[in-house]
Amino acid sequence: MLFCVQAQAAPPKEIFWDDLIPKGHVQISNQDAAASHDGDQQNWVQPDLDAPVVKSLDGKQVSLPGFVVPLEGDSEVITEFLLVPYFGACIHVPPPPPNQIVHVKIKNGVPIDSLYDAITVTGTMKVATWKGDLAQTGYKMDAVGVAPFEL
Amino acid sequence: MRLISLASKSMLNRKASVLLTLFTIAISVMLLLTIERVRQEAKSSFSNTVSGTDLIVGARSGDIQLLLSSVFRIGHANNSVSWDSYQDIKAQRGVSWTIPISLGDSHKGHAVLGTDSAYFEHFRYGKKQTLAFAAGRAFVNAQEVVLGSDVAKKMHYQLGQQIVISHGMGNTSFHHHDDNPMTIVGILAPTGTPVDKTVHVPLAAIEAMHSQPKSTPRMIGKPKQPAGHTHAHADEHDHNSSHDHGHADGHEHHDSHNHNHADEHEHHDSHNHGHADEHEHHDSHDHGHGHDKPDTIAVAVPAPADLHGDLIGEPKQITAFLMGLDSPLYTLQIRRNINNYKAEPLLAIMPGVTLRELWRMLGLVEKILLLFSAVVVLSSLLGMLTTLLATLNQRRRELAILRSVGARPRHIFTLMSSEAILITAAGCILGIALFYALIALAQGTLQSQFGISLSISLLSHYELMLIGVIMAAGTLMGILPATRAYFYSLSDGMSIKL
Repeated sequence: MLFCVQAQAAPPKEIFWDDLIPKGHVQISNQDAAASHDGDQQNWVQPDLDAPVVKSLDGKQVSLPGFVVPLEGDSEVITEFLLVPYFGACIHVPPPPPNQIVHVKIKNGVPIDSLYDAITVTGTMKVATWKGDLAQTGYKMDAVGVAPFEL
Repeated sequence: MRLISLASKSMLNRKASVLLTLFTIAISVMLLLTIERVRQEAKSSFSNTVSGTDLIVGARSGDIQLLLSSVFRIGHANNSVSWDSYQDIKAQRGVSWTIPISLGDSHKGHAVLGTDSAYFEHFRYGKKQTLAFAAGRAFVNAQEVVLGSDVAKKMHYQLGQQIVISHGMGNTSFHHHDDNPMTIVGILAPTGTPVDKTVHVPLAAIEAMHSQPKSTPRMIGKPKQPAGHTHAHADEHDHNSSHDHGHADGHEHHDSHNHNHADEHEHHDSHNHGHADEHEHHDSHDHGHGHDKPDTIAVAVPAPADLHGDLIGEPKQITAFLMGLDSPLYTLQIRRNINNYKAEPLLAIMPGVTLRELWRMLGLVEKILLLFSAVVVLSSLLGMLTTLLATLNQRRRELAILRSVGARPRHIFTLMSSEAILITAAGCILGIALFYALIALAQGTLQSQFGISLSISLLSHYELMLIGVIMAAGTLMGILPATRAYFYSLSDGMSIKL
C-alpha cells in the first residue's frame, strides 16, 4: 500500500457512505430491487432510478473508506477504480445504487495488493452529470491519496 | 582508500579463483534480472492488451476463460452468444458502444477475428490508445481484410494482395475457402498485443465462410439452405462455433476450383449485399477466381467510397463482444443484468477485475520463479564465501606481514570484507551487462513467439532493489572471513607450520 503525501492545507473531511445519500431520502433496498425482475422490465442501468446525490459534496476534499473494483491500470498499479461500500460488489451480490458508488481516478496509480482489504481514499469529490438516455448524475473523485483502512 | 587498492592488488594476485567467483555471481545476477524482467514484461503486456473496455460478454463459462479466449486468443470459447442477444443488449440504456468478436478461424496459423467497424473506432489497448493504421484503411465490405502488424511482416503481405481464410484453428487446414479470396486493405501499426498477430475480417466474411456449401460459388447473403449445408447454430447451443461445421461437405470442396462466372452473375440479381460493389472491385483488379495462392503483385487499394458493402451480414452468433458504457458507474448493474439474462446464459466480466484474479492465481508461480532465482543467487554468494574462506588459509602470511608493518586488526577486517564487496559489485555490474546482452538477443524471439515485448530500458526501482539486496548479502558474506582474519594473531601467520 502506498501513502501519498497530503499536500493540502485543510485536512479532508471524513465522510461515510450515508453522507452520499441526501437527508430524508429512503434508498430502495438492493435486495428487493435485484429480486425477480422480468428480463424485459428490469431496469438495465440501476435498481434505484431515484438515487439522488448530495450536490453540496461537489468540490469538497473528503476521505471515504471502501472497497476497490479495478477498472484501469497496469500490472503494478490501478489508475482508475470504483469505490464501493462492501466487498463483492464486483462479484455476486447485487450492486449498490449509483449514489453508493464513487468513480475514482488517481493520477499515478496506486498498487492495490488485495481487493479484499478496505482502503480509505482521499481526494476531491465531484458530482458529475453525463448524458445518456436520460441525464445521470454520480460521484467522481480525483484522488490524491490512498491508505489502508483502519478501524 | 589505500585498503581498497591493496585489496584489489591482492585479488589480482589470485586472478583465477576470484574471476571464477565473479562469473558465478554475474551469471546468477543475470538470471535473476532476466527472470524478473520477463515476468514483469509478460504481466504488463497482458494488462496492456485491453483498456477502456467496461465489460466483456460471452457465453457462460469461466471469467478467466472468457478473458483469455476473447482478448488474448488463448484457448477458445466453448460456446457463443446469439446475435439476437447481442442486438438486444446493445440497445439497452447506458450502453455507449459494443464491438462484436467472432473467433475460431485462421489464416496460416494466425487467428482470424470477425468484427465490424466499431472495432477500429472503439477498441483501446495500453493506456486507452486507439488502433492506428500503418498503411491502408479499415475494411468497408465483406471482401476486405485488415492485418495486424506481425502478420503482415511475417507473411510479407502487402496492401492489395489477396489472401484466403481457412476454416478452424491450426497452422494448416484442409478446408480452405478458396472461393472467397479477400483483399488486404489495411495494416495496423504495432501494438505489442495479440492484435498484431490477428487477421481482422468483417463479420459477414466469417458468416459467408461458414454458411456456404463448398461446391457452389460464394455468395454473400445467400439465402440459407436447409440443414446439411448450413449450421443450425442457433438451435444448437452447446456447439462450438469454431469447429466442426460443414465438414460433411468439406470433401466436395475440391471440385470448387472451376467457378462458373456466369453462374455467379445469374445469382446476382437476387442479392444486394454489396455484390455490385464486389464486381466493380473485381473489374478493377483482374484477378481470377478460384486460385489457391494469393497474388504476389501488390496493387493499389481502391478508395473505399464506391465499395461500401454490408459488413455484418446475417450472423447467427458471435463468440463474444466488448462493451463500453456511458459511465463506469453502470458497470456493476449492467454486468449483473447480463449475468441474469433470461434469453440465454451469458457471462459478463470486468477485464480489470478478472486480470487481477488471474494474477492472484499466477502469483504462486511467480513466487516460485522468484524463489528459484533467489536460490541461485544465494548459492553463488555461498560459492564466494567458500572461495574467500579457502584463500584465507593461503593468505595467513600476507595478513601477518600486513600486521607486522603496522596494520591494525580492523584494517585487516576492512581489507577482507572490502574484497567480498568488490567481487560482488563487479559480479553485479558484469551480470547487468550480461542481462542486457541476453535481452538484446532474446527480444526478437520473445516478441514473435510469445508476444512479450522486452524493452531495453534502464533498471527499474525494483531491479535496483534486487541488486541492492545482492550487494548487502555479499557484504554480509564478506564479514565472516573478515572476522576470522580479525582474530588471527600475528604469531599465527608468522610461525611456519609444518
